[in-house]
Amino acid sequence: MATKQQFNIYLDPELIKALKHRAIDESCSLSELVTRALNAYLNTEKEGE
Amino acid sequence: MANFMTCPFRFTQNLPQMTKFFEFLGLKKTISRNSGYACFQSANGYLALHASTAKIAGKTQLEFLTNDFDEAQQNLAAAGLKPQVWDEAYARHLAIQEPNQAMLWVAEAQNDFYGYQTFHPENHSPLEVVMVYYSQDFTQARDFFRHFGYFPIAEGDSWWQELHTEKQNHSGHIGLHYFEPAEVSTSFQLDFSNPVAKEVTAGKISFNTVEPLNNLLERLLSNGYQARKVEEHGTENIKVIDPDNVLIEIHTKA
Repeated sequence: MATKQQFNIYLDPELIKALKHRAIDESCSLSELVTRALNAYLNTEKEGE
Repeated sequence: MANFMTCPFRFTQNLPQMTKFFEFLGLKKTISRNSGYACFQSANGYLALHASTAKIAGKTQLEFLTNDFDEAQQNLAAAGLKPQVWDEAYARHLAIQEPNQAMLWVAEAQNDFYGYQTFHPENHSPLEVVMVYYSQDFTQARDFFRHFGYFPIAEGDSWWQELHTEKQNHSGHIGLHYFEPAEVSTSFQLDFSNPVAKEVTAGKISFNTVEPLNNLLERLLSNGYQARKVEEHGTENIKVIDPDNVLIEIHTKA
């Protein structure tokens, strides 16, 4: 696996809190949760395709 | 300057038994999550248990907590220590390289307890936690921990020196312990996903207590723990085997 890289973006504090709470509910790290969420979104078909 | 508190992490496959052992000694549980995590308050300093695989069970990761994370990051960066910062679900973390070349972590003290249980102990703990850092160069180690506000309490010798902060408010003690490389490992690789791919700082924990050692020894033996009182370097201490089969030393508080 390639070395992981830090990715800085700005999010709404409430969204950050929701992501953190979901990671706790799922007993995974925040990085794992966000990776899963982004992969799930990117694996959906683009609109209009 | 940011305020730091020692909080070594012990990895264990016996979290309920280790919790029982630490509470038996007199530590006070403040936070827990299922059977995966527990944090304890001592008279001075914190200590945490973290569930793990057999690979790292019994190992101790040295770590600090801080209530002033932004200031801590700024202070350490200004000192040229290049903190690497990341978010975990429960709090922010940073890691810096320490003199033994492993990564020393600093965690933001938790302030969102979603999914966690919190406890508010009424009685004070009779124990102080000493976070033991292995070093072959005490001058270098003292200079490093001065960035966190810790400095020598007394003269010390070539094998042992304790450091503390001026405030003494749960900042805990650091014990510098000389080592021979063949005898101890000063780092290890965590067995769970984390953004710092490098090895983390390994050390050990010991305790100072106000409880008379004879009382404590009797309590330990009558509750089935393997313990003995020994005299070393002109002072007595108790050596006890904890449920992870790790030897713990308990000294009389100076």
